[in-house]
Amino acid sequence: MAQSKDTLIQVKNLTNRFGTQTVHDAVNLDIKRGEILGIVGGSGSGKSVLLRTIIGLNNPQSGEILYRGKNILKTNPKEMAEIKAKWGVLFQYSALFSSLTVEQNIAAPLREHTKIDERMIKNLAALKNALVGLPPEALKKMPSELSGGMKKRAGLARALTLDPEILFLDEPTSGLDAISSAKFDKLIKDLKDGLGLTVVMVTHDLDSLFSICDRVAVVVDKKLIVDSLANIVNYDHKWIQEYFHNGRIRAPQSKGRI
Amino acid sequence: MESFFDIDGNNFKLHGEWTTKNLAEIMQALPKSISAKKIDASNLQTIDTSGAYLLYEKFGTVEIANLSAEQKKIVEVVNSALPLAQAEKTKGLDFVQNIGKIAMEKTEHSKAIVSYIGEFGIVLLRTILNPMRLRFTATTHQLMQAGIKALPIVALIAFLIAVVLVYQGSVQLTKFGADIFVVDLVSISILREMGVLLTAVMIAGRSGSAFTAEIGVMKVNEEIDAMRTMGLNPLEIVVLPRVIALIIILPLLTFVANLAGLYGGAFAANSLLDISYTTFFDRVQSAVKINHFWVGMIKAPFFGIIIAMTSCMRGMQVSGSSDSVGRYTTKAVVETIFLVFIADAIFSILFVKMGI
Repeated sequence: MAQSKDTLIQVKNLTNRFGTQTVHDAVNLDIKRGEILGIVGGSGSGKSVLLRTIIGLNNPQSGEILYRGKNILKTNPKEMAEIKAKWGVLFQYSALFSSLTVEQNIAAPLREHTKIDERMIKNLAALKNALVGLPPEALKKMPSELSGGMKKRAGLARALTLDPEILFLDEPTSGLDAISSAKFDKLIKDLKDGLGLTVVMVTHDLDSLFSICDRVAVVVDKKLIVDSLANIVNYDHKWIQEYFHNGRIRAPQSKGRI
Repeated sequence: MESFFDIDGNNFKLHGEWTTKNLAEIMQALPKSISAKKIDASNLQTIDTSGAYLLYEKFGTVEIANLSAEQKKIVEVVNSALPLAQAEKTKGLDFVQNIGKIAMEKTEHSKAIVSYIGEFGIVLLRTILNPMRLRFTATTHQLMQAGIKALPIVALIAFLIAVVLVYQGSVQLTKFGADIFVVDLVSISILREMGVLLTAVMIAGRSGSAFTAEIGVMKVNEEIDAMRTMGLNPLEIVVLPRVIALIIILPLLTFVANLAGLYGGAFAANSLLDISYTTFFDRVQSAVKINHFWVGMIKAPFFGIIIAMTSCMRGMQVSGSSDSVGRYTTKAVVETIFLVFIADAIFSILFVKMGI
């Protein structure tokens, strides 16, 4: 079961159980380099738990998670720290450090993990700030002074600070209006294309799925159903059909709306 | 030590990985002033946004030749955000403006206190006129949390301070052969002052900080706002039960502290001065008048009001972030204890004037 050079992360036989409640029952998932993978599922189905388990915030009952062939559930903290430096995470509510300015938030990974001098750190933070589309004034603001959309962008800038390989996003467009959501999707796609990122995105947003995701993993009945977007939409499962084909979607088949 | 570049006349050749991980090293290795007409990336393994930015800083928009397709994209992404626009420097306030700002803030703060006390008074009056309005469960929860659970610690510190008083007092009194007066000393001190003050300080630290933090987090979570939108008054639901609980608890805990203090005094007098327990309590009954006890007890409910209202008010002022919760909790505990001591001083003067 050798990992091909194209598979960055392999989740094997992962089981998550909380008390008597099983959330994931021996699930498998491959995350391929350069793709945008969407993770969807009903509320409470375990999407966020899956993401949290992969990034190391939750210990599963059993199973393996291989990063470039190495089981990260059994890796020592020092090596894990190096691996984590290659991952960027955007939390659902941005999780910006509330007592630091936006600039200090973005700069935090640089300060902690590198020996780069102050002046350069400020410039790199300003660069990331600009890349996510925030104005220079935002750098000096506190998180409590930002709007929801700006917080997300600041959180994204921080996730991108160390130029990660993989970007994990937890419901990135939740709380954003339709225009901001579309802009955010485009931002992710552009950054992914330009920086060569792999993106794993937990989302409820069908528009995001249809405009930027390559593959979709559906969490349903404690299992994962993973396939390309085109195939998933036609998958024969009651919940999947209801999810993708109920009347709420405006234009499910049109991709690349911006 | 790997080398990251080669300088060959006007050509700058890139080697290895120009990434964030290596940036500090690269910057140290680069000569201070450098210019080149061409940059050659044939030997460049990887470059990320930091590397691309460093190249821009050192060389401006010099063309980079022989970039791979992926590397080219990264350089383009970075270039699209350059040059970095500088934010306008915000002007700070000068000394006089700062004084004005602080004065205004204090005025606003005083107005807020008065309005808070007023609103609370109305809520209290409504509840007195209609006792069914009182949140009974919340009140009893606080009685348990702030009161019953504080019993052991309050008793313990009262006991200990009494022991200390006996030890310290006896050293002086022995010089006059007036050992027995140590009973008066410790009883009057505990009953009038120490019992009630120590209880108040302990409750301020324990429950005062808890109230501020609880209400503060509720504020951050928008729970207080949610109550208001449902037509409920947060002062009635959250603050009043706590105030009433402390009004009941402080006298009761003070009573326990007094008992523990007297016992501690007797214990220390017995072990240090060979004053038997019988002698001790006989003297307490004969020489220590009951008004000392009442003087201490009457202060207790007032301290309770001060602690509860100050901590709750500070909790309601929390806004924005976890940072704010910490700051206001600190303020609450410090202010509460300070106000308790001021009230104690006022009571002392009052009682002296009244001759009690």
